[in-house]
Amino acid sequence: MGRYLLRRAGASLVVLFLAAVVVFAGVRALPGDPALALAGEERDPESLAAIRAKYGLDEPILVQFWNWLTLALQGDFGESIRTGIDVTDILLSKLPITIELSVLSVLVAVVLGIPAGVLAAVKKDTWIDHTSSGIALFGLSIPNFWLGLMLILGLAIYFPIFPASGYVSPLEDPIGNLMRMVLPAFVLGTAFTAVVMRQMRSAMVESLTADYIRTARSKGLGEFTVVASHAMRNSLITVTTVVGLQLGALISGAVVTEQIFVIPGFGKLIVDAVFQRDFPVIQGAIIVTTAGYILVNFVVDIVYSLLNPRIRITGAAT
Amino acid sequence: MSAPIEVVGWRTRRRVRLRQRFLRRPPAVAGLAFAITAILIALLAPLVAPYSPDAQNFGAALAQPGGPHLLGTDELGRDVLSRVIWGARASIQAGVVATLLAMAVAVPLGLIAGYFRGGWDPVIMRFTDLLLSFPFLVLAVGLAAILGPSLTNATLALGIAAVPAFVRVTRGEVLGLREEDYVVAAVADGATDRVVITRHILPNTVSPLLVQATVTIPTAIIGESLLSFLGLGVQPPTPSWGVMLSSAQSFITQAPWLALFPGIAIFLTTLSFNLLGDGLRDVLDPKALT
Repeated sequence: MGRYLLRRAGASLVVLFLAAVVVFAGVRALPGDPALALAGEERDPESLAAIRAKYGLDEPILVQFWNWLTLALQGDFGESIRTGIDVTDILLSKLPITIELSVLSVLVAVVLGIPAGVLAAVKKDTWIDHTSSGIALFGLSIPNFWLGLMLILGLAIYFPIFPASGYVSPLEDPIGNLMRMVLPAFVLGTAFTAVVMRQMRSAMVESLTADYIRTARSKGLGEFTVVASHAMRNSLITVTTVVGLQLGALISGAVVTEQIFVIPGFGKLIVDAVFQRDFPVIQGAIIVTTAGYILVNFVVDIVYSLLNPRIRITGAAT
Repeated sequence: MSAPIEVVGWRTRRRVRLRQRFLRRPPAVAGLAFAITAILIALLAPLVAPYSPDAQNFGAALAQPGGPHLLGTDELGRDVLSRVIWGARASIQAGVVATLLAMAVAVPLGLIAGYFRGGWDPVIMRFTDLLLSFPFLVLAVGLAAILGPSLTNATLALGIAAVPAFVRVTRGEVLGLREEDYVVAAVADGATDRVVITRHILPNTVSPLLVQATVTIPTAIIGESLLSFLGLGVQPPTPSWGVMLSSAQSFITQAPWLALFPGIAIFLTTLSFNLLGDGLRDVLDPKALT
């Protein structure tokens, strides 16, 4: 197990390094000279040269990459070109907002999706199955940004139950924070719920017809024990992987959800920075998102191998 | 001499049986029918749309649904129905092309990684990990920033983003199939890799891949409208459902129909592909056939 862990950790680091290369190269490939963008009105050669020297833009590209990487590893992503604020400070102030939104929407997905999936599988081909599968299909087919607009229209404008947009810190106003997070978390969690439910259902349907379930039943175990401890444990393996695969979609979803509900989180930061050509912010935000995503996937892999010993053994053997 | 006839007969019988099984599922048939209709509407937009999608009529700006403009008009007096019809083109094109693009890259990679394993497997898996480590929107934002926002670049981003899932599905399936008794038996019997792959492995990956494709097409359709909504895909005044929703935001209280109809169009199109996919999965499931 230790070797497997090490191997996975090493692989994750390689991916992270490659991602850093891609992000750095990608940002450098953006059209337009950042020095020109920084200079604003003053475009005489001296001030341009001064700006290039200040931001290290006149160094060879590999030197620039090395400088950026070594500083980034120390948590220093430079300053925002637009506001002059430390990028790390910006990221740290935005990160909790997006994490809160993501955690709440995963919560929505798990709390609604797993029981619905289990119930649909146990009651396969009954009206319960058809109804929950139908709702899941709707959830999967609704574009979440449109759902967001419609919910704002319905539950914030016509029936003003929730605030239409904005954000307050849970430390200042916990109730106000939750009220503002209900609609975004629901919007972000809808498709996720549908995916979890469908995966859980199909995994459970398969588990419930397996030999070991028949054995468990023939041993005289109660139906609840068979479903909850035997079939569910195996089905959760599939669902764990799916949850891991969906996290990228969740981050993408957060970008648009934050745009619609005007939540000043990570997603909004990235989109705004791209439109403002704020290179240090783009680099910092994308690399932190990517690192977070790689970390989560690493954890998912570990959980997966703990749940499924076969993977662990073959993984360690090769 | 009777063997080939026997094989053909078996295949034909299977096809007939599959068709019958499919036709017994009304939601799947409805999904197929609507998906075909949507594709036809997209192809025949110039003939079907009552007005030109760009024809402005300021006298009739923000007209309510009904009358000469069945779904109303937007802030420039353009016919919403005509723009929804023309908007189908961008979305369906993006959905189908992105999926085909992803499959063309991912299926061979997944096959190599899962079947031959060895040195290629970790390389391919790290490559997909790398792709996976960029959430699709971050990837699309990056591509749009580098190459400029357009439908083609949005489609490219959607296609790249769909590659890892296809690689993983193919590889996972192939890994499992390699351990199946009939594959082990075929290998022990001296079957070459080519025979094992084409006769035993590939046919059995069709249904999971088809299911993955039917998940990817609607995801890409939503993705295209999302990118266009953010200003990173189709550029106005070209009609696209995402572009329409984006401009509808400013008129959400005054003219809610502007936000309603493009959203319904996206919803119905993705729903139809999802229904079709579910039906196909049930029909093609080899376990259900026995």
